[in-house]
Amino acid sequence: MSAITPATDVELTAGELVAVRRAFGPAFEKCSEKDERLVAITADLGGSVNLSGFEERHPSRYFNCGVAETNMIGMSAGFAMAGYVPYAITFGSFLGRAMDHIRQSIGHNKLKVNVVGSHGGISNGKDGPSAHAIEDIGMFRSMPPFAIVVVADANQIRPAIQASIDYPSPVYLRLYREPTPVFYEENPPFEIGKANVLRRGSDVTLVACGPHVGYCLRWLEVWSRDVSIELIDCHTVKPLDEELLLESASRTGAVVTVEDHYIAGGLGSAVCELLSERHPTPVQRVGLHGYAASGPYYELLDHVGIGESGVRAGIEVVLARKRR
Amino acid sequence: MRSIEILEEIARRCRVDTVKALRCAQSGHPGSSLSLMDVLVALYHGGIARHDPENPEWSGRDHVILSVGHAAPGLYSCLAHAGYLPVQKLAGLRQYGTGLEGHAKRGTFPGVECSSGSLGQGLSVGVGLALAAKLQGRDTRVFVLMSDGEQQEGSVWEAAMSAAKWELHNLIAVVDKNGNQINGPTSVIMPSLDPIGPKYEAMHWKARDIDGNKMAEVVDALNWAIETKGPTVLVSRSQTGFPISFMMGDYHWHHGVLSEELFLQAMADLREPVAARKDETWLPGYQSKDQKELK
Repeated sequence: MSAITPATDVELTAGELVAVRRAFGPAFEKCSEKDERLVAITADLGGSVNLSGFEERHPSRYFNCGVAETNMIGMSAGFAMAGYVPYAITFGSFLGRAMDHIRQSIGHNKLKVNVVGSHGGISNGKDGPSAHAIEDIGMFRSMPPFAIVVVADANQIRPAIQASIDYPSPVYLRLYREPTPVFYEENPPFEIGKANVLRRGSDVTLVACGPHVGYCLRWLEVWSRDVSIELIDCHTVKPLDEELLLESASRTGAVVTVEDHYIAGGLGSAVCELLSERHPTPVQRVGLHGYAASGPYYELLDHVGIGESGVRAGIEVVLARKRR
Repeated sequence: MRSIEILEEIARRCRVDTVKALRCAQSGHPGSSLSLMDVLVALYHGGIARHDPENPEWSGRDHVILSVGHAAPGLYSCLAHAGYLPVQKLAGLRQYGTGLEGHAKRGTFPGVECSSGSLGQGLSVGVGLALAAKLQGRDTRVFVLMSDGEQQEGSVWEAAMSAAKWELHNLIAVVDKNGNQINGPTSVIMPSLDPIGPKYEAMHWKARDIDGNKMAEVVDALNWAIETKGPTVLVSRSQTGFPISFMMGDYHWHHGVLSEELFLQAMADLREPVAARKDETWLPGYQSKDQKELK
């Protein structure tokens, strides 16, 4: 017998849906109008993040280096040395092969190169595991200089890009392929490292990132009949908004992390590291436990355990542990 | 312009202090540091690369990227002799806090432009720098120094392919072809690596083979590369550990530790008088009274 009323009737695809990656190009173009330091360097995936407008208006600042991710990163490092603020853009799933260049050419050189990983998590559902990025947050968490921003909806992308330009260290920006719910107003306030509390609650803290923030907002409408849930959009996985998370966890006494990422190395791991060191609290992590398979994105969420029932089960498990 | 004889003498002194620094460190990579030295000296002392030791960040400088990062001791010695740091500081090679990192690291030694050590990355950085300079309308040249074993890294060819796409006339690559790598001769480890020049030519580069341990040829080839619409690559045939008798041609000297006996042999091969027992003459930067200052 479930303690929380299931929100299975909630339609995630109802209402306004926009793909975060589609919103990237026009937002990048806007930001680059005021700032000539911005250049886009892509491994033949500029079209997938809607950069054609930028390419047309600023052809001299758009570079397609072909299907060559390591060269994309090295070239970006060269541009940064020359005073530009380069954005290296490809799918998150293809950045793994470039991590050594990210480590040395960006990291050891102490350069400011922002890396954009689109099609985060399983959002490129039908293309299958080769195009699913479920390890990227873990990889960038282990790269010392990088901040990590996971964009939650299409309206958050522009302030996220704007914030990433002058942030003192390189930033990894994670985008999503499928159209997902838009829930922020246009140009919401955004600061790297400052999480947003979207709903106040007292029983459990839900710490989410990416489009799952929007899903949780919808599911909460039902779940909140039975349990008081605090929802945090933890768009910056690194550096974590430690004080805000500690305050919330110490008030609710139970935490569930929700992400479209492998269960190890992502947001859940980051939150557990923080809480275990500074305020031990029951935590349940919701994420993928292995590679997914091809399938329609919204169906896949349930198959891999990060759909409504998976998150709800996480809340129930942590509440039971809190009561013990 | 310095004469070839003067440049050869500078290269000899840079090699002496490289070997002395490696002896102090009791570790490091003499093979490439010495095989590449003539190219380094031509660039920094021969008027090829525009640079200013008083102002390493000078915006009008050319960029030299040491992609073959384990040749860092050679680069440090060359830069120190050019006035970037006192030569005596080379004694701190590979010691904590000295800035003389085991592999080149940007921001730790003045004049070092780019971190390296993990091979196959410098050419991409060079492509970015050269393209950025073109975009900015600067006439900056970018020299990328690689090894032959490094050509086995696939990322080198990603970069090579893209350099021609953007017609980077300001990009000049040098492949120090000393024929050895850490586990054996390059021709054994990867027989199909040769010929290198035609591989670049197939990607629309201009290539030239040279004797990389003949100063006159090195200077001439670098000037050719600057004047030629590129990108250009010099495949620079050289000897591992040149001109140390027991190192040349031996892949074991990719890296290695010099015993006192071998150190003395190396100094003899370099025609550098030092005391038979360890004293100040064994330290980098030691200058005998009869050593002339070079202009």
